[in-house]
Amino acid sequence: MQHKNNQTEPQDDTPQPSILHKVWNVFCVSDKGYDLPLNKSDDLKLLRILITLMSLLCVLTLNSSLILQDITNRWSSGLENKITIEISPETKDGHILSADTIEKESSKIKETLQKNRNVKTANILKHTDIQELIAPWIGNDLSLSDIPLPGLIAVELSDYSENILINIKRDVLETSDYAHIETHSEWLNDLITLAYTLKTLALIVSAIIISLTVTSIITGMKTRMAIHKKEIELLHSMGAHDVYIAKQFQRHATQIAAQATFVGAISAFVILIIMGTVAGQTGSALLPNFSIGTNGLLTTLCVPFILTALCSLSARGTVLKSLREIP
Amino acid sequence: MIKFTDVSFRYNETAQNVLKGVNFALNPGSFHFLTGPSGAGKTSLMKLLALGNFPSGGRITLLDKDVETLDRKDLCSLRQKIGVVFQDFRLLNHLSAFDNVALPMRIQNKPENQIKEHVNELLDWVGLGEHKNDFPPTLSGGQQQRIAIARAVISQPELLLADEPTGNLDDEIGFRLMGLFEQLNKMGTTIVIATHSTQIIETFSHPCLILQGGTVHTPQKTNFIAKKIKNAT
Ligand SMILES: Nc1ncnc2c1ncn2[C@@H]1O[C@H](COP(=O)(O)OP(=O)(O)OP(=O)(O)O)[C@@H](O)[C@H]1O
Ligand SMILES: [Mg+2]
Repeated sequence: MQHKNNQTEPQDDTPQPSILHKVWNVFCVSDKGYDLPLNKSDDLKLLRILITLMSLLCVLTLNSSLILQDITNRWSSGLENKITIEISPETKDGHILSADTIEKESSKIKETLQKNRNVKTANILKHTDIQELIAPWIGNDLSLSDIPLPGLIAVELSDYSENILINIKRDVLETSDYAHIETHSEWLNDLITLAYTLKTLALIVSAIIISLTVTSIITGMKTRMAIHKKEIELLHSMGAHDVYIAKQFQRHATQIAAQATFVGAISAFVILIIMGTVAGQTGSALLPNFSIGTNGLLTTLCVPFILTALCSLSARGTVLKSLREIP
Repeated sequence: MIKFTDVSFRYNETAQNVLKGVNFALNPGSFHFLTGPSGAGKTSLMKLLALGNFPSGGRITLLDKDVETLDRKDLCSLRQKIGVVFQDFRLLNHLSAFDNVALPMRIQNKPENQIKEHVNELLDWVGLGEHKNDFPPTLSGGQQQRIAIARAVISQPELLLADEPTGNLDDEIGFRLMGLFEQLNKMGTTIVIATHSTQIIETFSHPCLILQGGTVHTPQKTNFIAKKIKNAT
């Protein structure tokens, strides 16, 4: 059997670290280059878990706000110029209209509508379409003849204004006593407001999460400064500049933050993909599209960088500020 | 030039003065012993000289600079010119002997190959060449003290302050280290050594500062030794 000797010689004279090496050093928390035993702090694990969670939540909330933005856009652009005219199978005085009557009434209304120049299209929905629409509530098994179905006419307007709507309403009601006009705008506006509120809420929560992350790093650095007060005094007594000391804290904070935020963002990404797949499988048109778009991907990528940069800078700032209080 | 004018010092507002009315001047390149009974304030005076504390009253001139007028940056560069051996060593336990000694040079941003050369040389000199990768907690008190001394002299300071530098050492190593201090002094370093050891004071003919009752006396050395001997008998 051949055996290759793979033992590496211990290198005596260390070469200048390559850029790759420097980048790698940021990611692995090592003791090299630290005068202060920062990596031996008891709260290191806690700080890492905290920042991982913060970055995970931040990615999730930011992506939800993007999804909500997407929903609002789609709803408002998809339904803006559309109205629906319904002929209820049950009249106000309680008797049931026959399918034939409904069909006749529908055709009459359609003809009237097509004469209006503000109407772009007017389509009578077929029974199969209607069944598809109501299937989620009553199921596919029911035979169509078992229940009276309403007549529905989907109308798309070329222009939308209060006046046009009033005209169409008048025309339609003159043509048929049984028609009822659904303009979407009221309930859609409510939904859009709701989605907008949720989106704003998600953004506020993201901002809170970001400030909590920064706060936890600042607290962590202050604790470390208190723990290593004696060592800092010693470095000062040797003439160490504030920046020399602050840089060590900054590097330490950057390492923790870089590691934790990337793990958090990757976890959030996995969660988003799972959610997207699950939502996709239910196949319901009611659920929004959960798939991560370009914006979502960009956000997910940016969060760790932004959080790390914020942690790095706030660690440096905090330490410099505290050091200036020592004579 | 180092000059104390009417310097007083207390650790906090409510405490009593540890030092009061301290007046003395040390010429550049001089070598002084600082002595006095335990608790007299030798370490406190050393802290003032090392810019670790600032006087509550009076005026201190260090290496020709008025301490009061210095800003943060000046303080740093002045401190870099002062080497200190602390009574309690203050080594960093998580750093090897090598890294402890290298610390002042790293702070001064010296190139790594120069650091390597100087530190190894100095560690050999204090007889700890074989222990350069050991950590302070695994070393004896005397060995730790020698590392502290090596660290204080590594960057060739203009002023060297040593608080009981031979306290934990046997006579032979103690005298050898005094020899190192003398050598540095000949190269121009101003040296102040706080010590209890009459033997060292007697052996090396350097002037004394005696701390008693919070003030510094600068007697003729012969008188002091005569008094010491008289007290002992
Ligand atoms: N950090 C401190 N806070 C308050 N008081 C202190 C502090 N350090 C020393 N003192 C007080 O100052 C006085 C002088 O102490 P100092 O350590 O300067 O004496 P010393 O001459 O160095 O003694 P020794 O020879 O035992 O080392 C003592 O009364 C001591 O109680
Ligand atoms: Mg003392």
